[in-house]
Amino acid sequence: MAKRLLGALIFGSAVAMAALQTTSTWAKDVVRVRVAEYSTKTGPFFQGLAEKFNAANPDIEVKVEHLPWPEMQQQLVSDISAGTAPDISHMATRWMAGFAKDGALAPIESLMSPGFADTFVPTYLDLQKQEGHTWGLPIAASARGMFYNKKLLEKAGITNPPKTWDEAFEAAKKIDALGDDIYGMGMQGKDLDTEGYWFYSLWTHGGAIIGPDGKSGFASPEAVAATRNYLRFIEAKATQPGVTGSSREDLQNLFAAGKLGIVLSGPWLNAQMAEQGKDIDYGISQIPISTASATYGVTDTISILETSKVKPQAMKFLEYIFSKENRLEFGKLEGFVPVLKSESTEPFFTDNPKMAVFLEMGPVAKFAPLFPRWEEMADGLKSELAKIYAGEATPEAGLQAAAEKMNALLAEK
Amino acid sequence: MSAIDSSTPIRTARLRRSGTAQSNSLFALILVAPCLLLSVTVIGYPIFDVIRMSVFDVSRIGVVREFAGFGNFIKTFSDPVFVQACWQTLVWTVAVVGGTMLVSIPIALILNEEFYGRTIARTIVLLPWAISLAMTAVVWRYVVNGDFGTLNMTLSALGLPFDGYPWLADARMAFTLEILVGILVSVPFTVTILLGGLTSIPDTLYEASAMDGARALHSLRYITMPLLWPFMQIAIVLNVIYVFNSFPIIWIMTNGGPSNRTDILITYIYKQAFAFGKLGNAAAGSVIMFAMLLVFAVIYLYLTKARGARDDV
Amino acid sequence: MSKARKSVLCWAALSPFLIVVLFPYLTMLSTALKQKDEIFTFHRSWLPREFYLGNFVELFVDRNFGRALVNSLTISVGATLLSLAVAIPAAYALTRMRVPGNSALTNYLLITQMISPIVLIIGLFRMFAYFGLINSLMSVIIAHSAFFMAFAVWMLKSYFATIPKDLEEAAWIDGASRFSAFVRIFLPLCLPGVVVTAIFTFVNSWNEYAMSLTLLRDVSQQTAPVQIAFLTGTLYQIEWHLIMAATLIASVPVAVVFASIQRYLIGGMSLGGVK
Repeated sequence: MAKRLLGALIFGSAVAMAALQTTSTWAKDVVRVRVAEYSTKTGPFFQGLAEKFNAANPDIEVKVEHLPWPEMQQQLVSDISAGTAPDISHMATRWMAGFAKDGALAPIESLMSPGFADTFVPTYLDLQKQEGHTWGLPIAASARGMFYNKKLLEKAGITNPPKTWDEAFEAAKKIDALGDDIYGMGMQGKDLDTEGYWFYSLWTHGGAIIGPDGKSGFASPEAVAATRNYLRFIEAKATQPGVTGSSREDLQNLFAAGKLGIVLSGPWLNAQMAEQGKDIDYGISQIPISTASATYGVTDTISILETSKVKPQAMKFLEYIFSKENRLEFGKLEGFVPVLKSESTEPFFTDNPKMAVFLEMGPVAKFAPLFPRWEEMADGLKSELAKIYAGEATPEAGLQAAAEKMNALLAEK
Repeated sequence: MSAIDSSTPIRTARLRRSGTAQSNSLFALILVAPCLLLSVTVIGYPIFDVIRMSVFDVSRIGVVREFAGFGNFIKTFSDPVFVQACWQTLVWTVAVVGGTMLVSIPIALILNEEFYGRTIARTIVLLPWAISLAMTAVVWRYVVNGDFGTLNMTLSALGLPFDGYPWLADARMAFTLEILVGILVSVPFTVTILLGGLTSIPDTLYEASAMDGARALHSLRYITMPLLWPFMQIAIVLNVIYVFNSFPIIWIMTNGGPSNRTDILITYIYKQAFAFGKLGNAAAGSVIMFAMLLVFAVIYLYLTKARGARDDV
Repeated sequence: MSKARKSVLCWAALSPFLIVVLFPYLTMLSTALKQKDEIFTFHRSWLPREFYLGNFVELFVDRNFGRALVNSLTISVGATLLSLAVAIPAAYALTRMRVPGNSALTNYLLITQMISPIVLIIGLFRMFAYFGLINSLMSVIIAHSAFFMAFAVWMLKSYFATIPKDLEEAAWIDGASRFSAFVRIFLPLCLPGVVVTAIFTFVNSWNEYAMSLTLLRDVSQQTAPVQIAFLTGTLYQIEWHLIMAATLIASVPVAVVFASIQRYLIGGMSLGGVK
């Protein structure tokens, strides 16, 4: 028995050694690229780009790994901590600040070819800069708009899509009254981007995430007004039932099924509607306003990691990704707004009523400030918002708590 | 697992006295060595790693910076969400393990009876075990979806007013549902252990009591339950360990929300580590979790030892 | 009471639980037979529009789910064999011989069960990365064995303790070596226990998610639970139709094993009594 065991162990280590060897012998400069999936098409798209790039660059081999978003952070953290990080990684721009601060990312301004940085829409590239360095490129950018179900609006006797929050409130009540299974306005209260849904109201009421004093703007009078704005929808039962149990995807599904009159969302919802809501006639317009016009501009980042030993080769592949035709193909596939100047004038974006509104809102887009403790701040805010939406805390008290949490995190250096 | 077979030492001791088993203990060590080696290398290092991170300042990418003493522990204990998660973990563990025992005992008793289709019934009872926890949670999230889920569809077809009822919106309801799913997935394992116990009770014991004219309930109380007790103990101990550490159900169904009201320690720690990049705090939390289970194990050992000294001799 | 009447009573008493168990399965079946655009519709229905098997085809042809099943199978069989290979001798030694530090060892094994792999994931990953074992099915086999072995040792120990020592001793007296007594007399007697232990390990490994997710990065090496979870993770589509089909398929092998060895399973447990 012992002998057999010993045999098994020897066999095991032999297999292990073999595995070790196959992973450590490279012939070319290998660039490992990790992308997160926006849809099932993301992985194959980048795989295709890599194949074309590899064919044109015989001395470089790009290898693409793709992962779903929810697993990205965990894998990136374990990879960097173990020294097995890829050369290029995709991430949310709001994580970038933390990774850059802890030295995980490589500044890329000196790696870029001359003139490459000028091909970008400056707003989006500027978002990738911090403390004088560029930490990545804006791989995806989106703005948010108001999606409305034309048939439901018509049935409720509303001729024009609401422009202000008051109009939206009236419209939502009327739509909600159409039937038990029909809801007026979608209101997000759970999971990813719940804070973003609240920012729409915050900004259109003239509020800000960080106030003029450099501290949290969550407890400002504008923020309270913004929250009351949402509360009135909830109290009038003009939203879907169970706001605190509804994630972004729940709202999108309701809209795709034709059960929801109005929802605030991004251009990717077009892609979902094309597959799951073919029969729904919908329009997109700007986010309703109270005192100011605004939308939430969000970018995702693709960065080169500090540990990479093939940074110039990695940059070469990034520049390939950001060529006009590749970006255009990506934009059409996933429905994101253009980040290159040359893309912005393409008819696909300018003449397409389902895309044009996101471009129009570009000038009023607000972005989340970059700070390393963003996720924790957002979690604290989300938690307080859930209490407010559930009627367990007043807007004042809840927002005060969220602001205090944020100020403590801002003070943490 | 010495905590569980607390009564075997007596038997083994007897065996040892009677046999010639004292032969060379070196050979015994050789037999044990691979098991120990595998465990110490694979689990030992990560445990060391967690303990080390818990007393150091660690960056979000795992770079260990200066020694932090108990700094991470103090920060963790002073987080109100952590304290809240501690209580919720207690509720979660007690409710799931307690509920599992309450459901499993009658099921095991029934499945121990002879009846038509028993094999089918037993197989169905074991079914929840055939799907991984993460998948069970994903499926249940769909089942309880307010507008599209099959639960509301069925309830409203039965004429109940659950059309569009948002099950996961209210923290108490969400937590209750998660506990019920937790019970559902723990039952197969528990029933298997209990059934094993029931089959090992000799029929002669019941025949003897039948001759005494004792009624069924009486024999349940005085024969079955006491003989089943050791098996219930194993089931409780193992379930406490598994349920305390159980991550996917809560993570997938509510992610700890709304307002952290369904967070338990393991989901809290996961967020600290991978969403907030506070690896030091997460490590401290892990050590605290481990200490809690250790305290549970010690208390359990103490209790069973004390009882063993009274009853088993 | 007649057996028929008793059967009705038993089924009636079990029915609430059985319904709860079967409900998600029916949901899976219903959803797996639906087409993509049927999942979120205004008027929902249990019945799919037509009996549609395209999701299963898509799963195996386009998504390579077959490979994920093969990976899962390789890992589960490997982990079962490896953990039995180390657990059987250990359990034998712990029940039949004087092992120095016996109780310390059993306590240690209990302790390893008390820590969730999730809190150890970073250390685990660092270690396997150090040995260059990331992206190797072997790494998951080793990790699963290490984590599930303690339970195996404990179960085997309690089985072994129930097997009368006299039989082996008789064989020794007959001149058999200790090893041949072990193989010829002891192992056949405790086979049910070994089988049940093997099944437990197999199922645990088949369903394990966190370690497989972390240690296997290459898409071609993903296990079934990881691949199913990945279907939930894109930005706007949770592909419920595929998730349900995949979950159904992944649970079938385990369910069949349960059904076929169920008598054995419970009989085996009784042998492994603790009394």
